[in-house]
Amino acid sequence: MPVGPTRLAASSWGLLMGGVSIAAVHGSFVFGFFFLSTGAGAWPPEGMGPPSALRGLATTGLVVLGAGLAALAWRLTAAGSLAGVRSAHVGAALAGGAAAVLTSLDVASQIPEAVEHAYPGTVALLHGVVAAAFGAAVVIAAVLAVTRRVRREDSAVLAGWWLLIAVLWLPTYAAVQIWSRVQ
Amino acid sequence: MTATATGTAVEHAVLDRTWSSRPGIVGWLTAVNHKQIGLRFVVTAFGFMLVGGVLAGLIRLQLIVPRAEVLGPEAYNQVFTMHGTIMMFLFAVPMLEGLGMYFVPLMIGARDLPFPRLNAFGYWLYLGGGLILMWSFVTGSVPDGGWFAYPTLTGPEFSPDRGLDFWLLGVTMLEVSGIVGALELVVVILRHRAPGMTLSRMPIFVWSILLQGGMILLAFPAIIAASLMLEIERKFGVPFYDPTGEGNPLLWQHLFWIFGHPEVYIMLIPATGVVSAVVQTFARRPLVAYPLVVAALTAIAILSFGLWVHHMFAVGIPMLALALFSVASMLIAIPSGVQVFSWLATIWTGRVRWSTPMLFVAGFIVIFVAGGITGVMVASAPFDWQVHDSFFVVAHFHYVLFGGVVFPIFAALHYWFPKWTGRVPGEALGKASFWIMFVGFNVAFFPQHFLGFLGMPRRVYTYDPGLGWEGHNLASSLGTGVLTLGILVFMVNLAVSASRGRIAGPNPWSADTLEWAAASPPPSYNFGELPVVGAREPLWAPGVDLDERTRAVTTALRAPTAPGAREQLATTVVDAQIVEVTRLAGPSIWPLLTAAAVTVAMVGVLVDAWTLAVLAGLGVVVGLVAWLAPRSPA
Repeated sequence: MPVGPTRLAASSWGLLMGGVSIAAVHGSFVFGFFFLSTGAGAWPPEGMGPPSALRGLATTGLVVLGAGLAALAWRLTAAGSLAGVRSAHVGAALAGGAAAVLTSLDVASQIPEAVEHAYPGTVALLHGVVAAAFGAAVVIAAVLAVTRRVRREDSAVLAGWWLLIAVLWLPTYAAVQIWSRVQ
Repeated sequence: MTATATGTAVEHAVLDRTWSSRPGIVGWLTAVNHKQIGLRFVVTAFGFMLVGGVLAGLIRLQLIVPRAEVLGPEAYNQVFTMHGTIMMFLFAVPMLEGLGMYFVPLMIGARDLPFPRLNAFGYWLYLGGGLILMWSFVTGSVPDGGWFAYPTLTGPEFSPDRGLDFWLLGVTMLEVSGIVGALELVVVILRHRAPGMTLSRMPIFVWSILLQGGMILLAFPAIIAASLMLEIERKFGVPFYDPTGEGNPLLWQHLFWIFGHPEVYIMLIPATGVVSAVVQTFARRPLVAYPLVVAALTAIAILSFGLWVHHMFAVGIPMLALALFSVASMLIAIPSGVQVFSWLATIWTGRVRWSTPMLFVAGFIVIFVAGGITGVMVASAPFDWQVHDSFFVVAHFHYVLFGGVVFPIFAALHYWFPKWTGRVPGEALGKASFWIMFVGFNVAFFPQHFLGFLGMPRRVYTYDPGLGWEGHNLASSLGTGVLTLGILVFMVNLAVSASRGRIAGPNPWSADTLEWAAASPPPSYNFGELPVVGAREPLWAPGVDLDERTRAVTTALRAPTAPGAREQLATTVVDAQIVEVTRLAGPSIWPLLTAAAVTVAMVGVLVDAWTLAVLAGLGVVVGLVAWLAPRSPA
């Protein structure tokens, strides 16, 4: 039985519970997006549209990359490879930073017309939550990289956070990039 | 019976040094112990209840006779809005979570909650949110859109002053605090139960807190999201709820009630958990049909997420949806009934001591059943259309919420008072307070059913004479006065008993759950030797034969394995088998500073001081990093 400074069990459950609530906030915004679409004449309205499809694809790629690196860091932690873990943490921080910039641009692209119609407002909201999650991923990964942490529970937190990002991003992408275009 | 040992005085001293908060004001500000934080929630929530009660008194004073002039229409709107807001957001849920924070670790044999600093952060956030709401009284811009704040009434066009901003930002902070508390409670219950306390041996109160926590995690986000959208609409004009920009006010109603209906059961489920604990103790026998009660609680928790539309029957819902939500609303009466019959059977077959907590529980059963019956009535859409927004609905939800939640809370305060203070509350004044409250409550709220049938709408600040409403309103207002007197007697009793009550000892009620195995009040570390559980009623059952491994672990943890290490057992989710020893964080000022930064950021948004809001937001990030920063390299 391990007796020591591990908090894996509790921290993993805590992260799961917190992640459920964050996903539920985002899920409420997704519900809002679809609910408003059912009552609107056109969704998106004439002259407005979703953010750049290219940025959406790039963000999706960065989600995969960041989540992969975070998962890799978790596995390398178990192997005790300090250099490998640190590199994976730095990589995850960079991927998160790049994705945060892209999703912030998505938000910015919707703001000018947000007071005119509910569509750009809801799109900006959905991307705003994801951008904040990317920002948090950068902070977590940067702290771990700077402090050279190789504890399993820390890497598990980062991997869990990227999993949450994927849970937030997929419905956002499906709603904004796919649903909006097939309307 | 549990296997516990007293340990040596030296071991207790070391444990106390390890788990105690620092002395003085710094210790108070940096405290993270679950008992301190839980008690703060309870005391603060009780204080807010008194504020909400004063507002209720003002409402009834205004309605005592036709054309009264105690409050004008604007002030009346503000008073009923803040009354509902305070009772729902600042009193009931924080009070019940506070009880859970204090007692759940004790009931499951843990030493603290798993994230003590997060718990402290939750309290400071709650206090900050509450103070923002109270601040509205000082500024004069008091929220006045009702406790469910429907747009477009609460949008920028019809509520242009800052009242609703106070409401939206304050409530958001309160809900985040609620989520934080729920997260703590769910994790401690799932991962830190005493060895041997399988899921099927958990006290019903712990089950109820577990379910409440799960519901909070899923329900509160909806109101957070809805509030953020409304605040953005109010500040920046993004038309989420404004139909002129293809927004839809019904979106608010859906999101609000996706939160709001489970909210009723978020309050009710732990209240029924208290009832089960009290009934079992004072009937002096195990609860009848424990597995069915657990199943009923679980069914209520799940069903409560499928009922929200019954609050919207009058907005124009398709007939099929009306029928579905109507049936679902009636369905919840079945598991509620299972619980009632379990309590009745336990009382029937037990040897009941009619002490004060038991009287409050008996009062609860009577009132809750009455409220449940009117609940089934309003679940029927055609009936609901007739009484919608009338005083019948006011009577119904006060029977459910005051009878169903406040009476059990008062039972809990009396029941657990010896554990907090080490002294037993007086019975004579306790019983007097119950009878005064019971009579006062029914005189106050029963006539409101008739007021509804007679056509009196809720939320009108006055009425004309000759409508047939005078007698019922007079009785209702007088009953409120009697009810207030009962609450005052209850408070006097506890205040006097805190210093003059009989010394309680660990288990004055001869109860069966683990919190009564600890001293009264419990030491900072709860248990010298961590308990091991072999039965559903551990203090009524014979002792447990420990296996060698369990004995080794519990003996080892009679003192920290490293200097200053706050250690407790982690166990498996279902069977509560020992998995590992975890170390918990100690006192820290960062939870307070981070919550203060959140509060300042909210104030910045409130008063349009955006630079302040951004700087405070950065302060939050700094606070979180400092709070979580590693203390030593791995």
